[in-house]
Amino acid sequence: MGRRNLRSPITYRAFPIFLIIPAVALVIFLVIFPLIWALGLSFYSYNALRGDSPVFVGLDNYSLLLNSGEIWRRFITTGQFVLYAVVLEFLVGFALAHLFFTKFKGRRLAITLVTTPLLIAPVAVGIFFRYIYDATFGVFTYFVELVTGQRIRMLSQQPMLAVVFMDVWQWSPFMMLFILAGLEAIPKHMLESSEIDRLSWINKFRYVVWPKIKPLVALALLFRTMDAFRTFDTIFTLTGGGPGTLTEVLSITIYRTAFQFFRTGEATALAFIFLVIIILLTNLYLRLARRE
Amino acid sequence: MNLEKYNVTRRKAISTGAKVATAAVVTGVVGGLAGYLAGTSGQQESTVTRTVTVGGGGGQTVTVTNTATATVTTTATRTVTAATGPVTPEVSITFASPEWLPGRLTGLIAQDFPAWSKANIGKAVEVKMDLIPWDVIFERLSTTLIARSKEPTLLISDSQWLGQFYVGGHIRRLNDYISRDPELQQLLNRFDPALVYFYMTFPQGNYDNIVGFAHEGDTLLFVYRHDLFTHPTERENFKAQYGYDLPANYEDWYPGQLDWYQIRDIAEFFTRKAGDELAGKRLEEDFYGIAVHMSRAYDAIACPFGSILYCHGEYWWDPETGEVEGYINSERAVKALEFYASLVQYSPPNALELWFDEANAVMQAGRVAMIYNWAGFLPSLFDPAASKVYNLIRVVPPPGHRGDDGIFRRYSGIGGQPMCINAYSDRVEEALAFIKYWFQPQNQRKWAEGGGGVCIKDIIQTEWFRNLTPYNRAYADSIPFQVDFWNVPFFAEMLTAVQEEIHSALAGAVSPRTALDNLARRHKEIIQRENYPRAFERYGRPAKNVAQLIRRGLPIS
Repeated sequence: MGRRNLRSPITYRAFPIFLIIPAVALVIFLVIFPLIWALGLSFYSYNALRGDSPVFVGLDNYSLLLNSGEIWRRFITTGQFVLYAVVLEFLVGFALAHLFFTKFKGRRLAITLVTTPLLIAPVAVGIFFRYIYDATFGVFTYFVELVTGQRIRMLSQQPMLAVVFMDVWQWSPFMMLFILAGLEAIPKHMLESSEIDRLSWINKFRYVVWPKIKPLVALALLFRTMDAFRTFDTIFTLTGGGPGTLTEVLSITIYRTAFQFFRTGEATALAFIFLVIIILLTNLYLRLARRE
Repeated sequence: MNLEKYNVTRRKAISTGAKVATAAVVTGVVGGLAGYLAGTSGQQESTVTRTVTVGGGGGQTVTVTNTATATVTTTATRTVTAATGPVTPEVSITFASPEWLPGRLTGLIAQDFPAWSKANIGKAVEVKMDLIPWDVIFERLSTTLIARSKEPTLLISDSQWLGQFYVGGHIRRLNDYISRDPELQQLLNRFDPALVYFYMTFPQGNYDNIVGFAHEGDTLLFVYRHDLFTHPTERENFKAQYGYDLPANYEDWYPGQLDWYQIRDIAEFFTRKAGDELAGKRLEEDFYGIAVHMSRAYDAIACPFGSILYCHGEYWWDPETGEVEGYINSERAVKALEFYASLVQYSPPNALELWFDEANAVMQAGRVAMIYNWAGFLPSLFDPAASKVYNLIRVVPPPGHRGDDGIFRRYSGIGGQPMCINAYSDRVEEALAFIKYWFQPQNQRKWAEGGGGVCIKDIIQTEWFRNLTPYNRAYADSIPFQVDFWNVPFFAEMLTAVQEEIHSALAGAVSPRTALDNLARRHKEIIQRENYPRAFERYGRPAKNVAQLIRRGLPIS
């Protein structure tokens, strides 16, 4: 009987819908609805902790934020961080991938060790690096002093470099894995042909290696850029955005506005501006990757 | 695996393995269930033991023994044992507190509350502690209260959060309860006035809105290396260089009028390089003069810089009018910041990341002559297992400063927290009962013995309390000159601006003048946007104009 019912046109069409209803409902309640609610909230002046009624202010929150010099400075800081971190991660990841593309004894163990930072919680990474960079007792400070004779105060003298190094340490292996996968996918005969044809290393890279790894590199760069934009926990635990506001990236500003100042309307507006920027950047990346 | 070697078939091996695994799982489940059942009907017995050893004043060495390590021994039943016998809790309330020694100690003292509450309000109430790390407690409590959660019934609020929590309607106004209860009225008179002013009222000092009861008192104190300060060669060299004596004992610091600028001299004097001589010994590592909080985190700058600012005769703003221009960027304020920034050169290299932990660490390692740190974080300095200098240090009240008007001002940025009652909780009776229980003499005694910051003045002033720990005397003497910054609902933005701008000045990114002008501009924008004081007039006004009192060098309480 059941089989006969399933074969009736209405049931046949309704059954899959019935099956996906719970998942769709969850997405609507947990993702779509809060997103729309937050978008609505961004047009109100509202302090969640103060408990006053929200006051509709139209686009005031957006205009206030986009006209704020402080917010633009945060955009620049975020851009600097993303640029330095992603470029360095790409270079380090690329170098590591080439290293591990060569077969040698202990290669698997070395890859495992190199990818370990990916397994560590970002908050823990921030705390580790706080100790590593500590200008009085830190191991980094100690070795730099040993080599240069200078006691460097990374967190106060070179704070951006400090957060970028930390990010590079944690995320270069991610880049390496993508590039290594691309390298492993190059057919052996192509590499051998290039050897036989005595291609220079630059031409070998340009005509044999790069076309094969390019899609994976684009994907890795896309992932890392999006991820670097929303970096919060490592920087928050390492510098808290300081000294002053030198390393205060946009995600920290959103957090402070939302959960320390409780200017809820402004925080959601800022989060949406941030979201739009990330979407635009992602599209730009994808378009560039497709064009090439 | 070669199974033939063991004369076992593959099937038998798999079967045996499966049996062992099943047995292990069953044992685990049964054990876990038993443990759970035992835990739910269990009893907790707790002991608090703490040993602190320290050199005494006047060149003598004194050993003070009291509590320092909190040890909790949990047995299998949960019925709480008290003097009156075992009592099974009927009601349970939660107490949210920072995760630190006072929080854990509160949990231990609360264990006798079911018996006490059974005897006094007719029902056995259990207090469960929710210990939250300091870094996230404000956000945790705020979001819980925004969600109108009934628990925690009791919560620790840092003094500056009071306005935000109260104006948002998240914590209860206690005046009506106090007016109906002679015991609470009597209790109110037992607090030191400075603590009522800054821990219990909104706006500050306004008794019309009592919003909490002082729980953990805390003050910034100086810890110095007594062995170095009393070393004959060092004393001789210091006098030759600066023309006056190094402070040798408690009285030289307090009530002696030691000046912050003398502190800087001392810091400069003791700043040495590896290879230099210190107290007759060749240094293997650099040695630093002073460690003062300068981190960008939370209020790490606002409190110590506040102390220096007040001692220079200036305050953050006019609390009555909300005016900041001419206050935080006045000549006196700039001088105060120049002085604060000048301490960086005598501080450890991580000066700009220094907060309570970092300050303790450098003192424990024996690499600094003085630190300025919260009393609540000092116990570990006297722990021989953690501190190289546990028997070489002394704790004293902070110095003051004789200003350009010839007045010697001694003020210090206050720490510490009150306990408040969640406005959404329906367990107010139980919460008030706990407050009364908390201030029972025997519990305050336990609190003091465990290292808690007692807020009851008739206890603080006893010789017993003053001699109980190496830092109690300094803590007790410091309370009357404590000053807090704003506890207004927009404190967080004001505080963040302070931390950012002054941290920039300490890092040398901007001059002290520019930093304070920027700070004044930012504060002005915040205050104007918030329409202070007009928008908050319905809550009343601060009882005193702290800015004017400080400018005139008068006591606050």
